[in-house]
Amino acid sequence: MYKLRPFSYSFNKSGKTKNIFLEETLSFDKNELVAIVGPSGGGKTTLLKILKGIIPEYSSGVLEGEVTFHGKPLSGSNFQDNLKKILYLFQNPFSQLIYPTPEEEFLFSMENFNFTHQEMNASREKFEELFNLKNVWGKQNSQLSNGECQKLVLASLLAINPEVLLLDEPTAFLDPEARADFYHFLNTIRGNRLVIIVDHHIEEIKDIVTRVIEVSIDGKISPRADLKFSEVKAQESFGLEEIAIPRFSELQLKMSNMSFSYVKKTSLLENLNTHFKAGEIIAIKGKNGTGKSTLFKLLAGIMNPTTGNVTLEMGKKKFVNKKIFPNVGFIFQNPESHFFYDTIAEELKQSFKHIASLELKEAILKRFFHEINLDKSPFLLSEGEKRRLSILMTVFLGKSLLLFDEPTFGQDQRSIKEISQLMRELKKLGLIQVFISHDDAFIKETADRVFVLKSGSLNEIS
Amino acid sequence: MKFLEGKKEYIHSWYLLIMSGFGLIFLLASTTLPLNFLMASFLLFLYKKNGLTNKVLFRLMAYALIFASVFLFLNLLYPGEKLKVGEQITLGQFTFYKAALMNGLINFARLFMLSLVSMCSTYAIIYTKVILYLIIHKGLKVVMGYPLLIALNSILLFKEEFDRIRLSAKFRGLGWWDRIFVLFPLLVFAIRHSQRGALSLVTRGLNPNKSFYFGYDLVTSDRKWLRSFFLMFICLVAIAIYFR
Repeated sequence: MYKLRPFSYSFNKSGKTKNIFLEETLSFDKNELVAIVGPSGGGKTTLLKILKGIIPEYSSGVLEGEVTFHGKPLSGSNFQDNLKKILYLFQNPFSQLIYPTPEEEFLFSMENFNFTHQEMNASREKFEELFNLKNVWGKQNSQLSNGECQKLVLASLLAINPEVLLLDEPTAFLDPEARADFYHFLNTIRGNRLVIIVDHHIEEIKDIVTRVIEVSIDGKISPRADLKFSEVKAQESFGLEEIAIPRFSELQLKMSNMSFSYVKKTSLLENLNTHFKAGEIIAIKGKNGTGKSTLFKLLAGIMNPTTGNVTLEMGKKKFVNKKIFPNVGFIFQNPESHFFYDTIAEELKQSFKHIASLELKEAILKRFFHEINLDKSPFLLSEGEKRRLSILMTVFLGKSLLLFDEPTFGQDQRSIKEISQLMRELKKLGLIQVFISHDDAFIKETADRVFVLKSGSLNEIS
Repeated sequence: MKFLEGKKEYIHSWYLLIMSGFGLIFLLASTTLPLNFLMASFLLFLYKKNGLTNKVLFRLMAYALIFASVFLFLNLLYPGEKLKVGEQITLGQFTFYKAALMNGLINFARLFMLSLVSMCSTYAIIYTKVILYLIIHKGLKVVMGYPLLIALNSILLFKEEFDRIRLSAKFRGLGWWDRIFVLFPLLVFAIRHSQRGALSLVTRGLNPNKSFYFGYDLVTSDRKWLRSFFLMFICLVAIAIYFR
């Protein structure tokens, strides 16, 4: 199917020329499930775009060398010929939406390739079952959670039955159950097709992957023998003791009979009663669409509960419902929502002003980014780097309650360890940290208490 | 919920758009208030049938009322030279010409109806359906129609992103000066969204020979409503010209 002879692709990234290159010949064939691994910012997404033909067809960079599909280059008229054969799922599923409603969105890809009504109906039934899409019908696309959106776009692409599937973190927002079903599905369909996947859930895909390609941080593409990576060791302390943000000891976050509903008579969250204490790291798990993001909005004081209260107690001071807002640091799912300024330095200025030591600032940056130019726009970073920047911009603001929405999305193992280490050190300052995650390994390593949100109830699990 | 449950329209959005266009021209041109009221009521009836809720209607009425009131005050404060004659009315500390007040009230009523109908139309007309109808039945090219569709549908995403950016600024405690720069990330979002949307259309295989699951066809009742509307429109125009 694919033949990749030595090639190099160079493009401008943050003012520097970034190179992605291959020094040997590689070929991929059907019945393979190839995992592309490597640190975030290395060029995994770029490699997928080369394999789709988006690069060089829709790119300003320079590709030298040869990448062929069925013996023909991927660009020019061949790009159009390969549209149905090679399908590509973007990293951010919302980027791929065309229509306002999920139903039309699901049918769009099949309509483009002139599927009959019977075929479309059969696909709908099949994927409705596989991805539990019944929950999304009738909604607006703008109302979908990331997980729901990801399932929808995936289903729409898979319904085409392509020869090649290029998947960029297809399970990043899926809950473990949906992930397991999806991996099983991938394994069953790969028989007469090629699947190339970028995924950080290495433990979960290792049994179905047939080959592994690594893209190193300097852009070198090379085959790996397997998915066994040397265990990333526990990271050294950041040394946050000296930073000048308040310490909290008498801090509590209480939910008292808290309920919430968007539609009358249909409670999304029902009668939540629990409390988190100073220095605790809380993980919230739950299936896609169960209301985790809504719970976060209530804890942050963005919305008021329909009934009951959420209270943040800081010693004698009490902040109820929306009054909590000034004490909260919120890390959004979409890191771009955090960025306001032209440069990374300006974005970090507010958060880093509490860190007097220049060495400490540099050490933190070095551990969070392989290479960073502070004078460049934050929008030019890779998705994983943007996420890490948004975390650094928020955690040192001196807020007593930190809420992280999917902090490990798009992160390699090393970065996940660094984020975990940072959270554990912030714990010593007495902050309450709550995070939503589908990453069980991260939860196990980081959280003190784990809660599952199911059918409107929040239950602690051991 | 079942696939495509509850998506039926009382009247096709394409015809509703045509009626709204003609209706708005009439409301803009006519100065005969009872006729304007008749036209606005007819259009609002169709919007209600097409799914406009009472809650939204009352909210939009409030907006239209504020907008029209501002216009009324401007009419009273700065009347034209021709209106600065005749009897004067004193309300508290303010004194107005009666002619200016009457003229202001007429403009207020016209503007209220005009702005209410135009705002309600955006809630009742499904623009996706209009564009798809034009692509399927009226030869609008897919390379024109689909980018337009993405642009229209991105409005809700923009709103969500705007809310998130605003919240982010509040969480960071940025001052009002910095918050003005909310436009910068929103602009970046717009550019990136259009870039990704275009790429999505290409990678998902959009082509001129595509088929459509739904026909977005007009039905007999749509045509009946359109005919009724134009009959009423012609009558109202004739009466308005007669009484001008």
